[in-house]
Amino acid sequence: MRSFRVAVVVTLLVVPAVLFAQRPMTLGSIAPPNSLWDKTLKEMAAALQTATNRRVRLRIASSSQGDESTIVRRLKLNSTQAALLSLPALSEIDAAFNVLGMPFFFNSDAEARHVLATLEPTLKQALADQGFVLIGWGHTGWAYFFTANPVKTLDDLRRTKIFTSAGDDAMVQWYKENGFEPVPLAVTDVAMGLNTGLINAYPLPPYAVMLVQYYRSAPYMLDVPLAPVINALVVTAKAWAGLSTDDQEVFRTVGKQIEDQLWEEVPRQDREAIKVMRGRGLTTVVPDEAAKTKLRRNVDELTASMRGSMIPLDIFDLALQTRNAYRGQ
Amino acid sequence: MAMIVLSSGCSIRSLAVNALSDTLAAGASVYASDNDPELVREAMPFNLKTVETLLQSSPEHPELLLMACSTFTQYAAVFVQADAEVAEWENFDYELSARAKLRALNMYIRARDYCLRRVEVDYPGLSAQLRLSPDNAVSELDLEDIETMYWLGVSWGSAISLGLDQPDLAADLPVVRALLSRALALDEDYNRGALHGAFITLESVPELLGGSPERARAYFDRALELSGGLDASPYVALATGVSLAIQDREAFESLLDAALAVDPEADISIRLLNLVTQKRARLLLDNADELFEVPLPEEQDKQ
Repeated sequence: MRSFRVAVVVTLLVVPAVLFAQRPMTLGSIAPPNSLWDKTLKEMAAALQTATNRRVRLRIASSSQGDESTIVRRLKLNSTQAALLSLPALSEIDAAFNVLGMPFFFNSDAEARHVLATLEPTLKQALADQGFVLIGWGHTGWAYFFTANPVKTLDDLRRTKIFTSAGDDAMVQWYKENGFEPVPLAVTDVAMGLNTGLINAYPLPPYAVMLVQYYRSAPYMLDVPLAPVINALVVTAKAWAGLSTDDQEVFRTVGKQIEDQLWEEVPRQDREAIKVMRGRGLTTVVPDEAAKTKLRRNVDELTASMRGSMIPLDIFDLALQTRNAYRGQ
Repeated sequence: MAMIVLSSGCSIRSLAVNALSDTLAAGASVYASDNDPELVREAMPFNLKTVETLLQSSPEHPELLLMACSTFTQYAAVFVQADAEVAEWENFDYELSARAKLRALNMYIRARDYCLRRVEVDYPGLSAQLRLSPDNAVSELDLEDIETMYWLGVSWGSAISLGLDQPDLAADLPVVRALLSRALALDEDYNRGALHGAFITLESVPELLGGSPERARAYFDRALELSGGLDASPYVALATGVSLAIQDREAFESLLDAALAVDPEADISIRLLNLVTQKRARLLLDNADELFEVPLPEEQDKQ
């Protein structure tokens, strides 16, 4: 009889959680399974599940949903309820996100995060207008230029044939207007392009370069960070509305922890990747401080032409003003 | 006198290690033909620790090194990594899954390191060369090294697949391809198509990493041919490697049904492998709803 009573008590304790448990949300990303991003998202899912007593469960769908534009379509059709979207997809949602990808605009993670915090209300609203709730910012790593021959200055870079994503007409146009030689190619054709000499320079984060082994054809890395490849963790407004206020709060807290984790671990992973590649033939080209400053100043003059064309005026101005104020501190 | 005693002591120990090594090697077929996966799961750790204990006495024993490499790889793949899949697919228990994956990863790395030690016995310095210049380094290896090449490639590749967040590990993917390609060139029908089976998985990596679904299918066809259709593993490898990646549920289910149709009694030398492969096939079919995305409208139109 006693054990029966215990069983009833246990059942009463367990049943409400089960009754209120919702169908798991699907979170899509293009991250490869067992990569740092996949593992971090799964850590988030585990923490969220524990903190909400399994009321909020996430099914992490890494690289099973197609490319990012397909993930965005899935979000809009509600077959996926959350996603980690990278900068190209975010820029398609709203041109304001282009501000985060301006070449040589940021110097460091701290500077990028400071500017990002100021821009956040605007970018959050841009996402909300498309039916997405921003949970936090992720990081895919800083893109650097990898080249077949050593590159130290902007003029050196102008003499290279730079890979540009096919379809990114605005970027191709910008490169051309500023004296560069962009070569639009599908991402899957980069290896062929490097091997045949069709291209001899490309911008990518070091970890990605190591994984795809492009450094073997283009073994020089210009050691001046080009731009952080920022991504955003979003939930659809519809799925968000289905969560209680308490669970929304937990989601935001866990999302913030994951954001901090990614901004710490992704750069560490890139540093390790550079070290590994240097042991296998990569040479990092490090301009002196004066040359770096000159490079950044020259590029700043060039990126001014993005104002109002590729990037809306207000967000461009806000980013520039915030960054300069941060540097002046 | 003391020298003679010591020397004869060493010889006796060496003889004992050799005798045990032969017995353990012969025991591999006992495990492979078993019809009770649970029994094997419980027995294998003892076997693994026995091999490691013997290696302490005889650290460069070629057969023991290879045995440690192959047995750790198989135990991690068949039992430990399978636990991770169950936890993830059936309960979304990512915490439990991460723990099981970490254990499997550590076992694959341990296995790889035993195989690298095996390589070093005959080719001092080659393991470092493998990382720096894989295509040149593998050309040193010969037909008699095929078993080592196979298990080194499989353990290393399996470790990379679970440790993509470790740059020093992930950077070695070209070594895996080089090892298995060399082995394939030396003995195309090794172990009744085992290399073709490994290549199904290797060609299932994204195109950016050098994979190709078409080549994976070609390896699948040849693996079936060489195994006479008696091995269920190529079906599951193609289903999980290609059909799942391109979200072709119809092909996925049809391949897994074919894996389940293989009669484990038809070739008892691989009975255990077929039984655990079929268990995995059933698990995959049971969890297909979690593994496949809801088709978009245009995808539904195509179907």
